[in-house]
Amino acid sequence: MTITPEHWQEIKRVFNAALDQKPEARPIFLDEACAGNSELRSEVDSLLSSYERTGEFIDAPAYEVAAGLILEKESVLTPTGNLGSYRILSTLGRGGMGEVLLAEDSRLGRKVALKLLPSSFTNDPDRLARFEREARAASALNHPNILTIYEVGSFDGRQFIASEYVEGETLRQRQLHSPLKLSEVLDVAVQVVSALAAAHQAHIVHRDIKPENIMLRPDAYAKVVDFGLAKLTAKPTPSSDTSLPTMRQVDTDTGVVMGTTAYMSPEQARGLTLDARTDIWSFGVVLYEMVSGVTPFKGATPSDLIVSILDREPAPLPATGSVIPPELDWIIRKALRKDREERYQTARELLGDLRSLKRQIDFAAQNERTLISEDAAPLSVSPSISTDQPRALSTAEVGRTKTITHAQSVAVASRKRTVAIAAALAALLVGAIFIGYKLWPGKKSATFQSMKITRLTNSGKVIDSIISPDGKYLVYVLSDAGKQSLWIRQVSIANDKLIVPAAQMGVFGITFTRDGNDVYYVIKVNMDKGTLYRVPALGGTPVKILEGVDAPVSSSPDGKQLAFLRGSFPNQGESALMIANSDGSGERILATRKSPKAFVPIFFTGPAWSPDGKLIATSVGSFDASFRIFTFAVTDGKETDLTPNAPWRFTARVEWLPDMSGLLAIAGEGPGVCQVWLLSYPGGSMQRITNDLAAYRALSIANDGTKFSTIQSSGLVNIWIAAEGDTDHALQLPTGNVGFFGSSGNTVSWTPKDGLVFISNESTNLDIWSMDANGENRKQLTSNAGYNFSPQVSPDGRYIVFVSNRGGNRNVWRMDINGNNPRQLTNGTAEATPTITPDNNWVIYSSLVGGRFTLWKVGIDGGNPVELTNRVATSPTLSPDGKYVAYMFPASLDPLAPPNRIAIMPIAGGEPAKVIEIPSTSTVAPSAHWSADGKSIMYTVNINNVTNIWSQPLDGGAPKQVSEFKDSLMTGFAWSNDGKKLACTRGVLMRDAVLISEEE
Amino acid sequence: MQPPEGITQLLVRWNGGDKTALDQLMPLVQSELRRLAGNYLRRERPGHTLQPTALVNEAYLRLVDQKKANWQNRAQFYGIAAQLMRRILVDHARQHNAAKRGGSDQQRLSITSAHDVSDKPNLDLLALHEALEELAAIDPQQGRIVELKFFGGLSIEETAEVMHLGHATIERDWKMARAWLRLKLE
Repeated sequence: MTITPEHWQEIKRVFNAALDQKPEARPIFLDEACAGNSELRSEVDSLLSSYERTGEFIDAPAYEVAAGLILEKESVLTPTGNLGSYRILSTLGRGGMGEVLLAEDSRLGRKVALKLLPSSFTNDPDRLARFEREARAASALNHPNILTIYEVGSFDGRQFIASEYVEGETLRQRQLHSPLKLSEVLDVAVQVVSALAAAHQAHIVHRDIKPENIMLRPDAYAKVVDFGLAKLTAKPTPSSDTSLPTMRQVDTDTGVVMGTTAYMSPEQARGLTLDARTDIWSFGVVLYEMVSGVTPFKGATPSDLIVSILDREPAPLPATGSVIPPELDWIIRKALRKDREERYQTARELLGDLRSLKRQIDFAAQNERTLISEDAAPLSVSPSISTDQPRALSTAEVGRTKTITHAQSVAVASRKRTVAIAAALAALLVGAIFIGYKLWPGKKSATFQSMKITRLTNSGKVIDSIISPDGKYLVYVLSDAGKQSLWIRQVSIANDKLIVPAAQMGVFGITFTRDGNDVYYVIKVNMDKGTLYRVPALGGTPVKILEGVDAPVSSSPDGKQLAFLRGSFPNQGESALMIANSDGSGERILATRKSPKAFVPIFFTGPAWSPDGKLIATSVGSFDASFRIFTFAVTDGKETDLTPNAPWRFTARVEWLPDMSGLLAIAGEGPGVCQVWLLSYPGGSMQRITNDLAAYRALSIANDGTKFSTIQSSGLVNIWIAAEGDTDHALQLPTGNVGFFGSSGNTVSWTPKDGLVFISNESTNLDIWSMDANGENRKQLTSNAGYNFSPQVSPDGRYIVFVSNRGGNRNVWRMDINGNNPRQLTNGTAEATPTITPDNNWVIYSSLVGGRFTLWKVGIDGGNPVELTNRVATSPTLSPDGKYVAYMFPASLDPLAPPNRIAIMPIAGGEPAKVIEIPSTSTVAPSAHWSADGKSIMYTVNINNVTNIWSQPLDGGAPKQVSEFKDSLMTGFAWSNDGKKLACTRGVLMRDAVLISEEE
Repeated sequence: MQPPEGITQLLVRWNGGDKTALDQLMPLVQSELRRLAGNYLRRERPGHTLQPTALVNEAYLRLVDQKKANWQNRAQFYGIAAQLMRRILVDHARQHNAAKRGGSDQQRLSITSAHDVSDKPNLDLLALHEALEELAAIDPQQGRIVELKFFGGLSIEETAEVMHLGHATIERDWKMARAWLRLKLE
């Protein structure tokens, strides 16, 4: 119940007037005074009835008791003078953990908050030891939203913690004097959860998240205080009799009073062992309260409250002045799931959702402002400063579809970056002022401090998009249930309109005509030659222009000609960059490439006609070296390599900036991990514009040069375990989203002791982690800036071999099972999918040589690699007896064709003894594993975007489906060594159109 | 211990708007109150009712130079004392609960269990403290009255004097605040 001061005054007026009446006259008086206001009437009634029964309630002064209390404990702090090197200045407050003083550290001359622990505390050596351990662990936390602990110590037998002194008020105090606006709620929420995520990563659980433990500085910084300390005041072991009603435990528990009970998680109330998810619950309560002003669970007494926490659903968010977005309601509910398995599993997950929502709201607010002043600055891009990581609402259960009712836009604000820069600068200043000064890019352009990423679609199924020349419309390709369709909408309003209805086709490129009236699109059916059509942008009858177009076309500036790519032309194994008139007539070859080089049309590449009409830029693929970006002169085909020193292995779509000062390019380590780069022209310097875990493809820039659209894709992938292979009862492990990496190789691997090694992008890089099969003891094994993936545990459990690009190329590495002693085993151009022979002596892997992946082996300790077969071969898997190796290869000679054959050959190499054909698996990395009994090969098959594992008996029987998953794509799987437990990574690939624009 | 003049000076400074004066005042008043409370209890039998305001009065007389102080200083001093009493009580109630943690038959600290005055209704100090915070947020005047009367031990008259308000106002606010707090603690 929250009462506004105004309402209180009204109650007071009526209450006082009623008291002046004789008791028997009061009902009639109240009827009149309340005049039908039944709420007021019932409030005054209950006050009056309480008044009648007041009795001696708080009549006698309390302080006569105080004397007794004081004598109970002799230890009285003298909060004056000095405590070690701290000079006490004043008292800041008191809490369950003792007194907090403001003091000055005379050594450093800075103000600190000094928390003195109650002496009762110091008398118990166990607790003391625990306190020191926890406090020191907490003091290692280094996060802008966590109160920094400077020192944990004791002086004269008094334990103290010296921490950063924060001026400001607690969230509780703030809520009492003025409610928070929605934007403020999200601002605080993101900061607090970001603090939780950092602490949880360091395995520190707060356990007592509540408004009193969140400090708000006047500059809107939130600081979470008392990390890891709540545990110390809590009961050391849960009650042995957990079947008892919880109220007694709670009542007897320390410091657990009404105020704190409200934030207690169900598992806390039950006295169960706590993990990080208790903080998520408590924060859910705090969030609910920030939004509504009241706590979600009610009870007149602590025990009633506990019953409510354990059994009742949170009361619906009360209607307040501002509209509560449904997403926020959803987020709160997910944080407040009674069963912690159903809750947000990690603070990071919760953070992702909060950030997304915050961006939406920031975006909406900015939109309103933008409508007023439309003139944005030109895109004089100096984008070396990375952006925040844009993400989809990342925590929906797999397969869950969000209903989209209005524009779902996501903007990346720049404030965080400023904060990060400030923090970095501060660190530099403290560390080494001179170096800091040099490193600080003080002369960077102030006009392009940041950019904004606005999500334009939210279905997760948008695979391609273009923006109209005036920047007002977005045309996109929706891919759903095996069909694709073409849509248009305004950038600012989600008024989607169908242009080309859904059909079983692949759209291989869309382009606006220069005047923005029409759209060119290329469709392919069954991977054959693409056909170019032209259709009015707002819908109409498509007109067929030309056959043999395999990628998006680019119009000449005058609109009279088109540049396009054609695969397998003029001969098999060749590809061509071509020009034709815009009606399809008069086609001619401008340049050709022969395998292993190619104008790879299938990777969303495509030509870009320069604004001055003289050049056509495009990516040139190479399967034995890096991809490059070239320009070709329109008149004579004269070519120029723009990227002789590019750091990328892969490039795809390119687009010119309208003033020709540069090109935007999709580039990166591989197709699944591309970012947007800016390549200056003609200088050729390269700067990354996006910097996150998503992959980008498609590029389309508006004529004013201030914004472009692209497709952002990210995986929403979780690890599942099926005991006895029973996929109907598969359990999702609490790792949260491990991400999807667009490259083949193991995503999971079992240790002989039934532990799991897996890859995850949780660290923001791609890293190898390990954990128990129940998800406990999660540990990050690699932590360098590179990509580490495709892990395989050796049969003896000693080593993990994996692929890492930390040395520049993708090579095979080996490390101890605990992540120690990393060692590079190979040093080729690009290597993939290592596995280990049953005798633990050899690593078998595929290596890119002469434009093809072939199979090699190298000793477990390194040495000279030996080629096993010169046929195209990836993803080797070994028979349990070690006598055979099975590998995957493509049916077609096209180096980009998916591998849909499995060959079995003797370990010594040579001709395949057997070849198995498997269904062609499309977007998701295919994988195959030999069964534990040696009798069959298991591989993944996608049907209607659902992946299942199939088994092909080696004795020639019919293949049969092994797993029974009903949804989601599978990105990798592994059977435990006894063949009983299945681990797999499953999820969805989210692809959406985003608008990237310069932020003023 | 600082000489009494120091306290008076601080009160005067605080009255003049110097916020840091309060920070320095608090610990001084607190330690004096603690000392006096201890003395009282040692010489009085448990259950013996102390004179209302006795502690605070004595502290005030001891600490403040009457020649230099005015009524405002007195009001401030009583206000500080009441606040401190409240803190002492609440803090000790928390520590008490913490110390008794794990016992099977312990209750939250209440006035009765702490002082064994059986004819008073059981009162949960911490709950009262929290309810009072809530009250002070919606009606600061009532919050202050309860603090002065209950924690500071002042009478209606003294409260009226200290707050510079009329008897009737204090009386009425006190009634309503009690009724509301009682409701909250039910």
